Amino acid sequence: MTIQIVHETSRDDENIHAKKAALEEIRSILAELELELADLKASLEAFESRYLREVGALYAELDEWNARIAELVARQNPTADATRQAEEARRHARSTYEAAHGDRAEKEDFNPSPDLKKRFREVAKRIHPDLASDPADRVRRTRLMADANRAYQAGDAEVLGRILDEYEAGVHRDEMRETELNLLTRQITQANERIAEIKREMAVFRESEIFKLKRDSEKASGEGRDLLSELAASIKSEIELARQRHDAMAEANR
Amino acid sequence: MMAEEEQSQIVPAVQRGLELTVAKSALIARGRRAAATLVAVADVMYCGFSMNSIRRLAFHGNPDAAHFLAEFFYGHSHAALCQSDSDTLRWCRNAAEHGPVEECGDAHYWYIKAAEHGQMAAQNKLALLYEDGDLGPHNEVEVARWYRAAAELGDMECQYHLGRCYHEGIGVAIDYHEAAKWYRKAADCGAIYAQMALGVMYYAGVLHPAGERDYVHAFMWFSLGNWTNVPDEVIKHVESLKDLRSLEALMTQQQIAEAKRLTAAWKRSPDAGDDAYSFLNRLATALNHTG
Repeated sequence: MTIQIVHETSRDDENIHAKKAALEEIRSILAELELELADLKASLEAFESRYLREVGALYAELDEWNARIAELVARQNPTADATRQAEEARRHARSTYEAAHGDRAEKEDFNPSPDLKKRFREVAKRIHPDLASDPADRVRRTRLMADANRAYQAGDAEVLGRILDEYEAGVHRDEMRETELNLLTRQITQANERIAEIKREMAVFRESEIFKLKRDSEKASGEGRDLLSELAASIKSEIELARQRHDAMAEANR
Repeated sequence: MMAEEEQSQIVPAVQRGLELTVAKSALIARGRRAAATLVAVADVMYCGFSMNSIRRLAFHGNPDAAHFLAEFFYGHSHAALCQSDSDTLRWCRNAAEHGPVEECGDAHYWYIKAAEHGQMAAQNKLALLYEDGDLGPHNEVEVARWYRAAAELGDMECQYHLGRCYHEGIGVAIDYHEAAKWYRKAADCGAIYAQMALGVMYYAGVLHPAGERDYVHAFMWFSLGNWTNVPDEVIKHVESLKDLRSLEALMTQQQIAEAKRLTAAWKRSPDAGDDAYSFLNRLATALNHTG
């Protein structure tokens, strides 16, 4: 009887040992993928911000002139069609303006230092919500992980360190009610689910227009060209054209 | 459980988020298309193909050559007055000065030629131009017509736009089921805006004869749609919906399990649409063949 118990325990121990090793490996993969996702997001956001600032704002200006032209036409010849077109042009100009100027905060180019990356990896490994032991722990980890993502994108290594400290200070190991083996199994499952989710999320990003525009722009930059500047120059010429047309119409109207 | 009034705020907030997201995405797509035109024109000119040889191909009914001419003249009409020293624009000007522009300098004409030959990118562009009123009077029937032409050939972007036509009644009568059908095709190819629009339709209950909300499908499309492109200031209003917790609160365990099963079982279908560059590669091949 005694022998049997010892035997069972050691098999459990072996199991736990194997699961721990597996979890350790999955944790590293998960942290690496979270880092890759955060990098992708931040670099796309920085590029989008630059695009909206250098190109989007010009489109907003162009649409504003076009709306003014349509309004002039409607005033000169107030048919139902012209009025509707003027309203449509105004609505379009407003929507372009909002899209171009929605992000008030200008984002700097994103160049994380190796140290920042290392810290983020550590944080992701330790506090990832999918490694939680119970629902309350999960809520806390989710909040901290969101903070960590923000800190990483803002390039703030100090905050990342504090987040880790805050997490360590709040860990109550005695609250764990599950057996170790069950907990490990669940952690592995959750981490694997998150890995699949990250992969899907990254695929979605890679399909986005902004990703493709960034890729095109990088390709052009390899050929010594600055695509966004070229784009800006061509829109500026359109703006000039629209402005001249508007002024001529306003003059004739007088 | 969520309070009734809080629920009633979610749909408008989601709609608002959707509108801003779509506006931003349209602004990005607009730039990407314009940039592709600049690159395309520069590349073909750079490779030394003459406007004459492209024109000859276009007159023989090659839709890619027609599309190229359309893009060229569309871009050129704006570029002509540009004072910029950019190489691309200089190529444009040179080519135009040395080419027989006067005979075929009509972007509209060549867009229609290319679109009639089933060139999806030209159909998409034509619909957009009609929608923006860039081709004279705003023509909603033509907008829906060209979105439909490309949508039926499998262009993901146009499938979404055709869904929007039925959703908002642009050039066709409002038909939510037809809207959902086209959104669905685009959503299955991975178009996030179509996924979000579908989620909103299911959530608002417009697809049910008695107006009943379908949380299961709303949950599925929202979680696929990912919300990653929605601006932060909008997310604040729909924070609860963003991570699907509040939607979960309205659902039974069985519904949640079913929604998660549907999400996991979803498979992306391929987008048959034309990339901004692919027509150019085909054109270069065709030009090389004709010498």
